Order: sequence, then C-alpha cells, then structure tokens
Amino acid sequence: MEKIGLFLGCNIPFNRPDIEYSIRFFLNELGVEIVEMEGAACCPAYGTMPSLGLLEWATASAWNLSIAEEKGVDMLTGCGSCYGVQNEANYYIHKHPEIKEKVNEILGKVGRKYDGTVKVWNVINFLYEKIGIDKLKQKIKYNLNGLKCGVQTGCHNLWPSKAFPSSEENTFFPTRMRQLIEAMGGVAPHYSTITDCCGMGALRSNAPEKSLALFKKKLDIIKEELNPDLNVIGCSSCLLQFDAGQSLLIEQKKIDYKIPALHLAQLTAIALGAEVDKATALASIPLNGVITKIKGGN
Amino acid sequence: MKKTGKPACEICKKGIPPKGIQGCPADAIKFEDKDEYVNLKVGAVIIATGFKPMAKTHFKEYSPHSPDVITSMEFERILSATGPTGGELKRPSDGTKPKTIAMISCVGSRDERYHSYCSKVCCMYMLKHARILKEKYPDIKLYLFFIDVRTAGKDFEEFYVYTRELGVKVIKGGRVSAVDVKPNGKLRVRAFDSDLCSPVELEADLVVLATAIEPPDGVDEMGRMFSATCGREGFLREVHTKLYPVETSARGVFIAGCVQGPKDIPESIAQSRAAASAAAALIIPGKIKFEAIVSEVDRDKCSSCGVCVPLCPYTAIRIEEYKGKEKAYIEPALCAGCGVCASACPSKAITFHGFTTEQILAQIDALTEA
Amino acid sequence: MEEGGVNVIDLTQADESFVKELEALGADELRECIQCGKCGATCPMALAGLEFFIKRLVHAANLGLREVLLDDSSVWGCQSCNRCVEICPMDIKPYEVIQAIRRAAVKVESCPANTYEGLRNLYRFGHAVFPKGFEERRKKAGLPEKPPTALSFEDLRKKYQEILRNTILEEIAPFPLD
Repeated sequence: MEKIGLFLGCNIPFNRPDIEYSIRFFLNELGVEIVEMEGAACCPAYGTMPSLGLLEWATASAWNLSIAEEKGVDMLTGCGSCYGVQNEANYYIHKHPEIKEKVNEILGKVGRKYDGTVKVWNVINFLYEKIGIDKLKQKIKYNLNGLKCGVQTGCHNLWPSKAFPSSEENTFFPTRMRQLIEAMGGVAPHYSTITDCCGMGALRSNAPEKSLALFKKKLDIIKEELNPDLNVIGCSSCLLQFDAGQSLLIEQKKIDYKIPALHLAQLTAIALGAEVDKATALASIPLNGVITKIKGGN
Repeated sequence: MKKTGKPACEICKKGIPPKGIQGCPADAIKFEDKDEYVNLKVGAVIIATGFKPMAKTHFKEYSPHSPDVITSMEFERILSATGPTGGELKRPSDGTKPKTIAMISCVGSRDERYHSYCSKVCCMYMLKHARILKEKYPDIKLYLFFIDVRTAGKDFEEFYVYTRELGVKVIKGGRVSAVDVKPNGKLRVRAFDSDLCSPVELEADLVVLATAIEPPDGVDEMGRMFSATCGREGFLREVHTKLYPVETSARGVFIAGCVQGPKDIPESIAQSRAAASAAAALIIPGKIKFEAIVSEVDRDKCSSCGVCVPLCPYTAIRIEEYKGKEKAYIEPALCAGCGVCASACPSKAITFHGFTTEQILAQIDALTEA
Repeated sequence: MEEGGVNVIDLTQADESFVKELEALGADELRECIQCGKCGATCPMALAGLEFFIKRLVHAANLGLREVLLDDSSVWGCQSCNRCVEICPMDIKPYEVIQAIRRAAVKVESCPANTYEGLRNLYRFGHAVFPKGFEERRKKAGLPEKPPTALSFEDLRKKYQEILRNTILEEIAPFPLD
C-alpha cells in the first residue's frame, strides 16, 4: 500500500479543517496509508522565516522535511503556500550545498538531519500522478452529473515550476484539475483568467481592499465567461478567498451573485462518498444546489 | 524575361502539372528535374544560408495553441499578394478580418532562456507591417508592444515617426506578460506600459509574435565541414568583428547575411558584396600569398605516426609519399599558423616558423635574466 | 515622498552598498535586469495598485535607493506567486529581490506589525497562522481538537524553538524567545 506523510500546515487544520477531513477521507478511500507528521510546524509562510533569510527559510522547512524523511515518506499538502515554500526550500537545499551544510548544523543541535530525499506533493499532482485519472474514475461513488466547475489551481501550485516534483505541461494553461473534475463526471472549461492571482495572501493581510478588488475582477470574469455551479480550488488559501472572501464582497454589496466554492480535496471526498456535513463543515457560501446535483443521480 | 501583362497562370503553385497541361506554358519550370549532387572544384566559398524564424510553441505564456497567435513570418505571408489568403487580411481561426491586432516584439530575443542577442530587424519590420496595414486599412487598430523601439539606421527613425503619425499605438517597456484566449475567441493581451506607469490590457483579434532570428538548422555541422567555427549563439563566426567581418577561421571560406548573425536586407547586401570582393581578391590574381608564420615538416625526421593530422583545425596536414615512405605534409596555403602540430609532434619534426624552440627558449632566457 | 514634498527622487542619494547588500541577501542576479517589463503586467502588486511592484522595485533596487525602498511597505504585499520567476527572460528571479528587500527591511525594523505577529505565533505555537476558535471548527469537521503538529507535542515544539533560536530570529525578534 502506498504511504504518504500528511502535512497539514496552518490554514487547513485551524481555519478549514473540513479540508483536512476530506484529504484524510479520500486517501483512505483510495487505499493510501496516512503517516502522521508528528511535530510538523508551519511551512514556514513566505512572510515569516523566508523574509528573514535564505538559511532561515531552508532551516525551518527542513525541520518538516526531516520528519518525513525519518519516516521514509513523501509529503502531501492541500495548501499552495506549504507546497511552494517547501518545494522551493528543497530546491535551495539541493542547489546550495553550503546552505544544506548549515541547515544540518542547526538541525544537528536537536538531533535531527535532512539529506534532501523528500518530495512535496499537492492534492492536484498527487491525484493526477500518484492515483491517476483511471483509478479515480473507477473509485467514485457519486458522479458529478455534469456539474459545471470553474477551476482555480492557485499560483503556488503552478510556479516556480522548476522547483516542483511534477508540473503542468503548460503552467499558463493548466488542465490537470480540469481533467480530474471531468474524470469525476463534472464539466470544467478553461477561462481567460484561470491563472490569475485570487488576491489571498500577503496582499489580503496588508491591503485587504486591494486584495478583494483583485479577487472581484477574477470572479466577475468567471461569472461572465463560465457562470459555473461551483468553483473548485486547488489551494486552501485561495479557497478562503473564494469562500469567505466572496461572502465579504456580497456583504459589501460589491457583487450580486453567489458561486459556492470547494477545495479539490473536498469535491473528491464527496464524490468518493464522504459525509457532506463534515467535508463541507466550514463553507460560508451555501452548497445545497451543488450537493443535490451530485447526490441527485448515481 | 519579357513582360506580357497577362496574369500569372499559377499552375506551378499547384505542384505537379495537372492533366492536360504539358508543364509550364512559359517553359519556366523543369518539372522533371530531380535533386542531384554536383561536384565543383572552387577556389573560395561564400556561405550565405540565411536564418530560421523561431517557432511560437516555446512561448507558453502567449497561448501558442491558439490559431490566432501567429509569428511575424506567417503574418508576412498573410499580407503578401502571393500568400495563402491572396493578400487579403484574414485571421486563421475563422477567416474574419481582424479589427484589432497586437504585435509583440522580442519574442525569444533578448531572452536568456532562448537567445540573449537582439534580433535587430524586428522593430523595423513590425513598423513596416503596421505601415502597410494602416495605409491599406485606416480603421484598423494596431498596438505594437516593444521593450524599447530600436531604429538605428538610415531613415529608420523617420519611418518610425511616420508610422506613429498613421495612428499606430506604441507601448514601451513593454514586453508582453501574457496572452490569454477568451471563450469568444478574442485574445487578452497584458503588458506593462512604462509611459503610463501602469499595467495595460487589450482585447485583440490577432496576435503577431516577432519571434527571434535563429541560426539555420545544421549550421554547426556545415561549419565543421568547412572548418569554420560557430559562436556561442550558433551563428558562423567572423575572424574579427571590425577588421575581417566576412572572413572565417578557414581560409577561402567567407560568410554573408544572417548565417553570421541577425541583420536586415541592406546590411546583408553590403556584407555579401564585401564577401564577393574578398573572394575575388583571393581568386583573381591566380596565385596565393602564403603567411610567413606557418608550420613545416622536416620529412626526414617524420616518423609517420600521423598524430598531427586529426589535430589540425584547418585540415592542412595530409600524409603523402616521400622517398618511398608515408610522411606528413603541411599545405602552406591552408595552414593558419596555430602551432598545434608543432607542439604535438613526438619526433620534433615540425618547425613552427617564427616560433622555433630555440627562439622561444631564447625569449625565456632573456626574460628570466632580468 | 513626504506629504507636500516635491516629487523627485535624488539619484545622488543612491547607495551602491545597498545593491551589494541585496545581492548578498539572495538577489544575486539583480543587476542583469534589462527592465523589459514582462513581470509588470501580471504582478498582483501592480494590478492591485501598490506604490511599488516588481518591475519598479527591481529598478529602484538596482539604483540603490535604500531610503525610498525601506520607507515603503509595498514589498510586504507581495503574494509570492512566483509568476515573475516563471516568466523572467533574464532569469533574475525577481521574487528573490522582494525577499532580499524584506530581509534588509527587517534588519532595520522597517516592516508591518503583522510580520512580528506571524513570527511570534510561529515561535510560540509552531504555526504562523493561529486563529482563535479552531477547536470548535475542528469539531465540526469531526476531527480531534488539536492537530498532530508541533502544537500537540511540547517536547518537539521546544526542539523546533531551539532551531529557530539558532537563526537570525534570535537577533531581530522584538519579543522574548524563551
């Protein structure tokens, strides 16, 4: 049986634990053994240790990576930042032997070390490459019944592609999530701003108005070009923007429509038969129509 | 050829002559002709094999999968009266006439991932395309995206200003970030406009990429065949940028045009004339002046080991019979005086004139004495 | 620019040592930028209308405009989307320039307060993002109150903290590390 270290990060376990439930559920259903990453910390977020220094970044990430290495597993994360930060750290550690040496000097003080053997996967690439479209197709219990989905892969899941263990053929025209959704019976057309930033992240923390304005532009184009039943998101940070962020736009009367949003892990879990109450426990935009459509036919 | 005033029959365009027509009515084409190898003995060669325009497929951020994202070379054909549309402006996807066209410069040029050099001609031919279009279709909207507009050349700046006067819009600084396809088939072009100090976006019907001028395929192989070397970017290299601009490291082999590096038509013509003159200067006297600094084999000392033959970068050394034995011979007309053979010869049979062992040792002595 | 001041940047105040400092902080290919502008139109900072965004930051950094850059907080709004790194034709890794400016800014305590909040949470709990009420949210999703991360294992958290104390955090943290 395949094994994977489940890297939780911060936003998933504390803000959207329904994604954590969903990842755990789909891994079980697909026969992947979950290895708990006891003691894992923040990835660390771009604005923290990475903003202090390259060594600081590499060291804090290596703490997490060394836990997976000790257990002999790769890591899986549902958060784009965790995916980007740790893959980039891995890349620096490989590229700069002098940094690797210093990192291990520091890790050594608490009896740890990191050789650099761990790969970090996101939900998209894990499902696409490690599980595969065919197996996913076989395993689903609820067909998406033509549910029309707008896709948001998320910047950190796309770039810098050279630091990642696996990548889209054209990162400016991503198709992996679309293929996965279509394998589950949904419809996921391309739209012109598919790779645009949703505005979540440092911009949201430091300039919330501007962040939401950026998001509104993207959402308006999704509405205009696709008018989907659901937005499906590959990154937990983007999901916060697409769900709670959208609620803010509605509250501020900046938009007059509602598009529910789910993380790809949540949608996959639901299609594999997860308890909807748990898998979508923290969604702020109501999902009734979406669930009815999925559960309506079998 | 005599001009008849009749329209061209265009039979040749259809390839093999259709039934009932016996070849070209003007007898201008030999349809039965076949590829053949022709052996020629020549005194000089001018290599002028041109360039290759870069394909659009590399530029994933510019939606290369869209049929309405084309290269400038393809656009040139669309504008041409003898091109696939008969000179009618049509976009490839649906044959409609584009109302808004975006042209993008420096696609693959000035780009460390592909070619670090400037392709030199793109700024001007983009302006040329714009001028042709604007004069023919005054209502068409044209947006030209540049990093900066390079118009160094006689009358070029005037051409640029004239094109601007026609109403062509120029965006600088400037390299396009993204081209995305909208569901209605339009293309969203996004760039930074340094003059507006703002990101800009444009909905275009057609996007034209001024892709880089690349060395032609197989140029390195051809260069090796002639003992001419290629530079880092893959173009054939001249001996000296200023003093020997058409000569290569192989004597008697000259270069002209884009095989040496990107250049426009006037420059290519000037260079090809220079190459022709240099070749003529070599051939016409009927005799060749040897360089004084060449290597020579003392054939009585030569052990016939043959080490020197493959080492010579100018294929100047051959083994030939001397006093009933195979010995090395250096052709002074080909020797460029690099000295590789002299330093490699195990029998010390090769003298490098001007740099003999005695001369070099004497120099060392003189230096070390001080 | 000061309120009511004259809109001019004095290039004689530019400081070449700042360029070198940034290079040492990770922006090692900064000087290769030819200002082609490709990063400018898809940079979220530019689209959101921040005063400084990637193209402008790289240029200002190359000029050595230390005061101008350290007085402005735009760098902290960078999304780290890395699109600039993916498309930069000169491969200067523009995002590394942003991080280098942040690193220089932190040294002179010129960063927004929430930067320290993230670092404090990271040190104390092992998580930079640590919102209140998570126990309730986890319960709703049918999960135990605490995730099996550094938060749940005091001994491992202490080790993690020791690692952090061995970095520059020890010098710059405006909060107690104990």
